[in-house]
Amino acid sequence: MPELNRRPEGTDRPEQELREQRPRGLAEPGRHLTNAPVERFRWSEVELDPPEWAKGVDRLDDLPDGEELTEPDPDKTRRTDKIRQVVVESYDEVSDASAKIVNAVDKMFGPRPDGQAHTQTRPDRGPVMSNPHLSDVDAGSVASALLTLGIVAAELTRRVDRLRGSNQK
Amino acid sequence: MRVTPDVVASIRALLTGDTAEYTRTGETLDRTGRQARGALLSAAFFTAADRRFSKTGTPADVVTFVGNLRARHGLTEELDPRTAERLLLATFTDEEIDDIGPRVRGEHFTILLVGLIMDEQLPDAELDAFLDEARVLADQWLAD
Repeated sequence: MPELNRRPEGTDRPEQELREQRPRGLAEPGRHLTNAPVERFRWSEVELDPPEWAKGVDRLDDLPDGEELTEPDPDKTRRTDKIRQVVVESYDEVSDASAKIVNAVDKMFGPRPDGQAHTQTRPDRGPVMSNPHLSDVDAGSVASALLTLGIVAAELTRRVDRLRGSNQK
Repeated sequence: MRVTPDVVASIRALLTGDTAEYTRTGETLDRTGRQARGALLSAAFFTAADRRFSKTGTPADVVTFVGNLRARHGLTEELDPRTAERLLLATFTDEEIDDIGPRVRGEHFTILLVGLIMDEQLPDAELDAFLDEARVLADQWLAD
C-alpha cells in the first residue's frame, strides 16, 4: 500500500528552509494573515414564509413536478372553448369597426387636441418691457403731506411760544 | 391563418385611443385579415377579463365595473349593461352568451376590452406583452 502522506520527491528539505523561501506576505498554511479575531460561523434556522412562486409549498418534495406544471387549468380551458365556439363563426363581424365603437372609444379617451385651441406666443415679437408705473398725487400722499405740515406747524408754534416766554422773563 | 403584425398593430392603436388608425387599418384588411382581427379582439377580451375577474372577481365586481364604465365615459347608449355583464361573466362563470348576436357581441367585446385595458394603465412593454399573449390564444383559435 503506498504511503499517502509521503512528501513528493525533491521536497525533502527541512521545513525551516521552505519557510525562508516563501514570499513575504504569504502566511504559512494554517496561519491567519491578520490577528483579528475570527468569527465562527453559526448555523441557525429561520422560519420564513414560502416564496410566492412556491405557491405555499415550503418543501422541495411537495413542489409540483413537470406534468403538473404543464397541465392547464381545466376550468379555464372549458371557458376559453366556450368563448371560442361562440365567436368562431363571426370573426368578421367582431372585427368591423362600427361608428358606435369608434364613438365610444373616442368618448373614453376624451377629446383630442386639434392644434388650434392652444394659445401660442408669436415668434416675431420679443418680450415687451413696460415703463415703471409712476403714480399721480393720490389721497394717501395728500394725507401724509398734511400730517407732516401739521407736525411742523405745531413744532414751530411750540418754539415761538417758548421764545416769547423767555423774552417776557 | 394566423394573426399578422399589422393586425396586432391595429388592435394596439385601438387600445391607445387611436381610432383613426384602427378604422384606417380596418379598411385595408381583406376577409382573412378581418377574421384574424376579430379573433384577436375576442381573445384579447377574454384574456383581459380573465386577468381582471377570474381569480378574485365576483358578479358584484362585474356589475360595479360596467356601471362605472358607463357612468364615467357616458356610454349609456353604446354599452347595454346586461349584455356587458353577461359577456364578462361568461369569462369566469357558466354564463351562456350564444344568444347574443355577433355584431352586438363584437361591439361590446371591443368597448369592454378598451375599458379593461384603460383601468390597468399598462406601460408600453406590458401592453405589448398582453397583446402577445392574446395573439397566441387567437392563433390557437384560428388553427382549430
